[in-house]
Amino acid sequence: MIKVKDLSFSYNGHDEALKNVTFDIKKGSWISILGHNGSGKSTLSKLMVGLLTPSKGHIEIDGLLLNDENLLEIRKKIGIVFQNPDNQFVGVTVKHDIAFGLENQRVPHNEMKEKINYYANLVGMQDFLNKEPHQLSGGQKQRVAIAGALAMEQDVLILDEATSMLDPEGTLEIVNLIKKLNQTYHKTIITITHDLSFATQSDELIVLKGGEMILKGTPKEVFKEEDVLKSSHLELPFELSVYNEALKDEKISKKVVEALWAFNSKM
Amino acid sequence: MGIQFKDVSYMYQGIKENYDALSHINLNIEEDGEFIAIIGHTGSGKSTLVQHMNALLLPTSGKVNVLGQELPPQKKEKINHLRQKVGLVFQFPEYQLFEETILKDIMFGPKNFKSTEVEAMEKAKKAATIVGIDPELYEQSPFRISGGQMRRVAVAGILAMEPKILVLDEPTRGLDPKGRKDLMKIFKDLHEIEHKSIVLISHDMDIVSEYAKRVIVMDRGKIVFDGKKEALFEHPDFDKFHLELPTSLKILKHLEKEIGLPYQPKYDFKSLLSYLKEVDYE
Repeated sequence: MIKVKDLSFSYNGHDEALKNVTFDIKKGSWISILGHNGSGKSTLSKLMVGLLTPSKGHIEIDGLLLNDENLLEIRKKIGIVFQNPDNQFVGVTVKHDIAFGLENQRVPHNEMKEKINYYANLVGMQDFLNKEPHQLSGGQKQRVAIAGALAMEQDVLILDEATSMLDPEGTLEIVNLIKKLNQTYHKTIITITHDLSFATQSDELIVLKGGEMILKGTPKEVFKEEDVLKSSHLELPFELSVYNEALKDEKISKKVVEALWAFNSKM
Repeated sequence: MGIQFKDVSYMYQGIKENYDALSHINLNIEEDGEFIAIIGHTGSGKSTLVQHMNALLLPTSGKVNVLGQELPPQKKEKINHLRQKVGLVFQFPEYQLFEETILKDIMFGPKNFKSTEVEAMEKAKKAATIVGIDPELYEQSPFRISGGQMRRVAVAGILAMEPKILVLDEPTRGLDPKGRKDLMKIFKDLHEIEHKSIVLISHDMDIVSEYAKRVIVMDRGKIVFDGKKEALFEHPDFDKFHLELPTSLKILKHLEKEIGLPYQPKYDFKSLLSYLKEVDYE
């Protein structure tokens, strides 16, 4: 679905924010791109939706090379939801906000109404269509933003730190919604995050550090590399580091270690 | 002296209706030695409560006393000196950075409170050192550094005013785990070395469990619990607060249930691991 090859980018011409990054994303999979603040992960997401132009390398989306010529075609395939729920709420009410993209595409009124209802329902915001942004929680605003992106009916959805400004309740709402979109609606999902605890649920992880890709693999493979993660300023969730420590310590019985693993896998 | 709330209520005036964001709050915070976490669901009144602590909001009824200054004030007197004595760090404080350089931004607070340029610079440098901002960065724009660094610059701006009490509204929200740990370490040191009272709002039970000594639970504008954190997490009716347990306690409960490991509350990573090593099990 997405092929990223030898991708580099520099904001000022000499320091590279992204260096020779190469990876593929399969259709229908859920990938998490991890990295600390300043690792290049948001630069990568901006490149993937064509908000920035690579200084080297290229991106291919569904067989199309991402360039100025194909940009409009590519925007029909890939959508993005950003971090701050307040900066991306453009409508007066929930239904106007979901309508924004549809209006730009001059979707006929009746069809638009149908789509708004359908996607509001999908994200669980059907009872809030006439509410104004200040009447919504952060998690609700993010769900509206996701509905607006979904209404564009693209195959790929990027969520760039879409939960980092939310409280734990709001985060859970969004994580459950992502799972549903991926499993039931077969959307290709790219979550960009520093939160390892919800990255465990994706199919594959890519870890960036200083603009370079330093790890790639399933959550289980990547989480084994605790030292590499630590050196990238990524820390394992509390429960996973308790398990890792206990595993290394002879004084702690095998039975306890096993029970700790069971605790992690049910999270 | 510290901060006292006596039967404080605060009403937000809406277009159609008014609602009580705080109702009948009684509270006493010591001037030093406290580490208080304020928790509760979104909309429970946490932010409204802390904004009373430096007179950003004045009670609709009842009295607040901040370091001897009664609020609302008896007669027309200036109360903005309280903003220097009680340093309030808002949510996402990095959005309030505005100066050309990092050092100038940190100096803004002390200069507003009548420090000379030289004094303000001294205070700013001291605060920058506390939060770990490298002197090489002083002359850089505060908008060209990472999110975690911006947050620390914003916190330094408050510390440079040398407040007696530090109040933080969700200081770690949106930071990566490393940034979270580094920032909490700064507050922990201020508390342990300078005995400064710290009041912080948090949704993160692991932070509450590791750092706080006392916890205040808010629900719909009321204080429903105020006491030691141990008393909260071991409360027989803990469920009625609708709060999550910290991960360390969840793990210990899981181990008790699954393999019969004797339950003993441990509130941070280190003490949990040493307990798992020492515990007489099997």
